[in-house]
Amino acid sequence: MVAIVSSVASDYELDIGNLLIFHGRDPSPLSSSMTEDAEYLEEARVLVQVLADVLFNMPSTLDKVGPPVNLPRPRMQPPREKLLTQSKATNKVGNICQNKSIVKRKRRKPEFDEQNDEWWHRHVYKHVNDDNDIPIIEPKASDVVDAKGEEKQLLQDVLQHGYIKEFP
Amino acid sequence: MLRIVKPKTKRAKRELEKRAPKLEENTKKLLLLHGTKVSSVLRGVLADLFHLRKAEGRALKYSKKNDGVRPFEGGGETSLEFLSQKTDCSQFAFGSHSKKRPHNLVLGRMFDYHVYDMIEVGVERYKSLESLGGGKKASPQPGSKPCFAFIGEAFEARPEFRHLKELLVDLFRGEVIETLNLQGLDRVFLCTAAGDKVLFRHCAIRLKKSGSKVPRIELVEVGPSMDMVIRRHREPSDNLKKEAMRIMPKTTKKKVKNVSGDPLVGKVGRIYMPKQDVGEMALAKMKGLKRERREAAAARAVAADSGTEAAPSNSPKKQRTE
Repeated sequence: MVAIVSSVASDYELDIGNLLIFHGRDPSPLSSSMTEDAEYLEEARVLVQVLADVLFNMPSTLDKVGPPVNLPRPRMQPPREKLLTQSKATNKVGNICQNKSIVKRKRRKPEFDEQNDEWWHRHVYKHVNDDNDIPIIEPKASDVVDAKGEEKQLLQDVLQHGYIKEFP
Repeated sequence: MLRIVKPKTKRAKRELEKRAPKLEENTKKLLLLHGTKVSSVLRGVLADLFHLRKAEGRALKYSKKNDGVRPFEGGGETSLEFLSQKTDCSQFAFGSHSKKRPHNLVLGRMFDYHVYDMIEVGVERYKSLESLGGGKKASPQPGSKPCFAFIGEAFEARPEFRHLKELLVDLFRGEVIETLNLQGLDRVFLCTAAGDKVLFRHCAIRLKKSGSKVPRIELVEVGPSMDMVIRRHREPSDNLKKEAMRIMPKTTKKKVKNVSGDPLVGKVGRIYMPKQDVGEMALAKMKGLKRERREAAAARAVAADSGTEAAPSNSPKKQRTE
């Protein structure tokens, strides 16, 4: 902001970027409205003269058409007309997903196997989190066989001897 | 709501890109609307505003009656917002006339196609562009950058006056420029706060010879001229204002290293070469030197053999090379 103190000791506020000059003092009231306009015009003329004084005294280069002058950035910045970042408009599918809390997640080709702490395939035989992949537990002799009939005989054989003695 | 149209042609795509939000925005467009009932005074005012802003297509005037538009009223802004989105105008001037509010002019701005702020003024003592001779000789060039002169304590002290000042500057300032040709200083908007009114005048600047480098300014009134009585005004909410005034932080451009320039030489770059041991490097084979290489290899073999054995093994080699 540049404040110029004129000879009349009233201050002007200048916004050169907007070519604006503001005089914070009220215009002198007049008796008749006929000369009012002329008086205000004269006062405005003085202001514009002050603005011109500043502009023409700014450093300028020589040019055929006229002296070009570099203006500083305007002090008074008006508001923007559009948002700085525009969010993508959600469409029908997007709304459905939002309602169902469906989160878009990028699937990786190998999946992380928590048990073995490694990246392993997701679909093929012996994939990660395979329900069919039951770990083989070696039976102990002290294991109680909870079965009936033939099954019981088979399991008992396995427990005692480690193999099935006789197939049914 | 306007349906989202996907561009089918490249031209349409370019047009949509023009309307897209950017870091450095386009100059704002003004939409001029007529209300249910418009007086001749207002008709003139809107026509003059259009004339002032129509350079480079930055104004649009819809002269048909718009019954649905009622600013300052609950549901009366949807029509306005729809029109703003359709025409991509972020400023509007709505004129209407009624017994309660004669010669009513509502000036407002939009943010993201919703009403940001607006101010309602009553127009009195209007003198048109034509009547003041703003047509011919003294008239400023259309689209030139204007100066502004505001006189009065009210513009600083009273909120509605301050608001009007901001709006008027935003309305008339045009493009933001970095360089100004001083010979092109040819118009000024004068606003004087007298009592409860704002005396709005538009003058052409004449630069007259004076003794010094700075010319003497003379103002010639061209239209339009009117006295504005501020009625209602609506300022933006704090959140909205904060959002609208946001400026992207300036990203410091990455420093380009190892590049220097000279108008004589042009663009010069520096390359840092690692230390190279030419003897150790795998260079290209030189087929032309095949014979020499063979001879050199033979000579070396001879030198090695002569140190250990007698000559017989040498003779066949010697014959071959001959």
